[in-house]
Amino acid sequence: MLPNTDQRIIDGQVFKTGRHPADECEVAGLLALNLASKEPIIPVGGGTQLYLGNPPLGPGSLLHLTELNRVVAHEADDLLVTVQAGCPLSALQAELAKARQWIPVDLSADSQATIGGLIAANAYGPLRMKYGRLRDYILGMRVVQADGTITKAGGRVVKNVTGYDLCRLYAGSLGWLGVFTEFHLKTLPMPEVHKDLWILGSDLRRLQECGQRVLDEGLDPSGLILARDGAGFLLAARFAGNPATVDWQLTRICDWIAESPGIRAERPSPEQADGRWQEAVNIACSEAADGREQLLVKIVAPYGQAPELVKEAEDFGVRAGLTVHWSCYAGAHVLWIRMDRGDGDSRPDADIVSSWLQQLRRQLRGIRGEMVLHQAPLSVKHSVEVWGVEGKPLELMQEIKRRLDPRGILNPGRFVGRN
Amino acid sequence: MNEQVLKELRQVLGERHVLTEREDLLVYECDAVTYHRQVPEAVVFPADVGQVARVVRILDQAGIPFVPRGAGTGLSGGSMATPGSVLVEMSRMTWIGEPDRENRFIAAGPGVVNLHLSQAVQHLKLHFAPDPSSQMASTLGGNIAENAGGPHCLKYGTTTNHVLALEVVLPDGTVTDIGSPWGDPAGLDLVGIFVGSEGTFGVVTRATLRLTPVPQAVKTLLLGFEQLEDASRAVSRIIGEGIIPAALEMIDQLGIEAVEKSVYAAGYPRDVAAVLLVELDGLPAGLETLLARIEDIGRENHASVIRQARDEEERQKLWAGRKKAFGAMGKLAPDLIVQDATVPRSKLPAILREIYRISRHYDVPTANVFHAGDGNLHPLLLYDRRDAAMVERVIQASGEILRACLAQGGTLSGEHGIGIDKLAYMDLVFSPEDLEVMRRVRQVFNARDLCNPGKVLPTGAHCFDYKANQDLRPRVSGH
Repeated sequence: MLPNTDQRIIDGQVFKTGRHPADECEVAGLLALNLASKEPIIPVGGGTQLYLGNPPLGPGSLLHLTELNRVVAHEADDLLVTVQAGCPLSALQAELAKARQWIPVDLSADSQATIGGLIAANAYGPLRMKYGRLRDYILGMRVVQADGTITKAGGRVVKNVTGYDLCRLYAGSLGWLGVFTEFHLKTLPMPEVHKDLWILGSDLRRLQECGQRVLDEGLDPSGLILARDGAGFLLAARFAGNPATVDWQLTRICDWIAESPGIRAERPSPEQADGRWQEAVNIACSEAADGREQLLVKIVAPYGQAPELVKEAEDFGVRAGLTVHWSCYAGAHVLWIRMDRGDGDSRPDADIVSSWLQQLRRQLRGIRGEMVLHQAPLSVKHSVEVWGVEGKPLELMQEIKRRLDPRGILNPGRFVGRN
Repeated sequence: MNEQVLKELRQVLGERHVLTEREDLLVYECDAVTYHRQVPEAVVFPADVGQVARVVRILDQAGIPFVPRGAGTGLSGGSMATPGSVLVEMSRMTWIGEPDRENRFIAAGPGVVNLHLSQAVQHLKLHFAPDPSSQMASTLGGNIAENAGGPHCLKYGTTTNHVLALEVVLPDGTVTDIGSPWGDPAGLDLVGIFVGSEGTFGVVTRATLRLTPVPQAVKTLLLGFEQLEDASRAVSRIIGEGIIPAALEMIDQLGIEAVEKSVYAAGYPRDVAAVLLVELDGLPAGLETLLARIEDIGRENHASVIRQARDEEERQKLWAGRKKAFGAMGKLAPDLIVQDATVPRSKLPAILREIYRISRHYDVPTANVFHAGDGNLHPLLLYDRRDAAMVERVIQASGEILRACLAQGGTLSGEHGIGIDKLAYMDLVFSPEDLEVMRRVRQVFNARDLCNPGKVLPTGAHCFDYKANQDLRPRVSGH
């Protein structure tokens, strides 16, 4: 259910609910009309990640894409689907499933998140390890520019070097470069089966090494999750494909686990497996929390550093009086850390939190890693810039923004460099 | 060319790394599309990123256009000189870094030959997956510029899926790092927009690339069909069943004739309309089932030949035939135009019929050797450039084939790039507004338009002046 309000408050700024255009022409018309007033506009789908970004510079309007919600055409023989940006991912997957196809992304089962929003926010789950990001499935797209000009990029085919790869520029641009209206996406056949294997133990480093061994032995997991499991830890490995290949891999891993003291393997039922997988994915999804103010940090660092980083985060949590939850997408080099106040009344000092985050970001930079602050109290966001991009790359991004949206209408202030 | 500028270049690089004598420059007058030629003003050979940056700065300050170049194997004129330009040839930058085995990436210089990179990591059972047919000669910088494909990109993706980070010299001489070895940097995807920009956004000086495990098992199957329709239908059936082979290539009868006449003779059957080369790879368990299913599909579509490569040697032979096919065309005619348009897979039967019709209509022998699995066609138009009337017919046939591909929902280039070769067709694919967005992005990187000008985007203001190079050949893109 969409929140039925006349406005959304984003980091203290009011965004009027704005219009719900019925089609691309209306989207274009609205943007063209808006040129005169230059009112800031945030394109929004299901609104599940509106919190993402630096604080807005001022109030504005939301531009809802939820009426553009159709699967326009599914050409199963060509592994191609044309879908409007406001179509919920769940609806898209349901349609594709009729022909036993899918877009290989495992995100929160939240049914409101739209394909356009997920692409704009660069959202993904642990399956990114094998399948890549959503941008790897965009063959072509239609984008309305900030001034209302309707444009397209890419095409309808998987091999395409016809002009610049604008689709890759648009993906992950957080509504900053244009309003997405439609995509041509590549689909994949659904795997015949998928099965998870759980490896449990009390030593996080050992489990991390198990995950590395799965990769080093040339096995082919579609995803690997490292997570807490009660007092111990869990490595969940998902294998997909034809039954013979999947079973061979599971057996092989179980064989060498049997010979390793201190860790044990379990084969969960499909329900248990899917449930646990979803739990790990939900750590990264703010909507899954009960709305308390929290920190949600995405750390990009080599998988081998996960145990140290987890310990650092948990130690900080103890010092700051915060409860820490985390989930590591092994092989994708991503560690999600969520911290909230737990049951305590005392609010952690914003300065303490900010200075820890700054130090973490500096530390990660040294290994070409990153810290992206997905969610934080406003006071923290004022001190710690969300994205952490700097130098010449930031300049290039800002210049691209200036040329495509010279009036700074689309989602201003929220993306890199507080632009 | 400006003597002062030459002097500065010689100071930076050393005398022997700056070519200015005409007989030296002639070697560089084209890439693999011999149809377009332009002799550069000079060719320079920088050794490292510092020299690249200084060279670019000198040329930028002097307002002299420059063109980055790898091995010159491109098929759209992308690394061909533009009038008055200097070629910045990257072949000295052939270093390969230490592979990060755990995290599966490696850094290397832009002048490294594609195949050499895979060879350098094969002892770790890893390889660089993009395998363009030119891989024995083409360089990483060129692969990145063109978002190179190859037969195995059907399963593994194109070059853009394997580039994690780049160090580039921007057209004003600034050196910068974009991307991240961990694969998902915050902000806009600068690496994503740079790959496939055909050398118009700057010069790559270091590439951090994803390494892929070498598959544990490979099965290669040759299927021969007496009817072309049956071969096309088999392609659709394979994909339609949810099987994504590692590669799925088609070679038609004329293509087979050329290959079998050449040193790359692979033992392809002669009495068929086309062969399919299907490769499956992965863990051994389960491969046999997939292979059997493909053989069934072959039979269901009246395959007259079904043959599995018995060993690695035979497999290499079958692939050499395919990968060297373009060169083998030399056995049939002295000149060749190869196109690269891509269509949705389901349109293959229709577009192949159309290509043969156009070939007959213009009396231009046309072979088809291509990536059937992803709809990336390669019609090979054979001709003799000494026959002016034939050249004219080839131009017409070429244009008609491109238009036919677009009419089937396809695009101009699947992997060779636009370069200058397909400039004239860009406005059949994109509106002026679409092109304007691309222009604006290009201006961010290439504000003065000195870096490989006149490539990829039609300039609109003026056409590329072919007459300047004294070559009387007509322009291929006919307008």
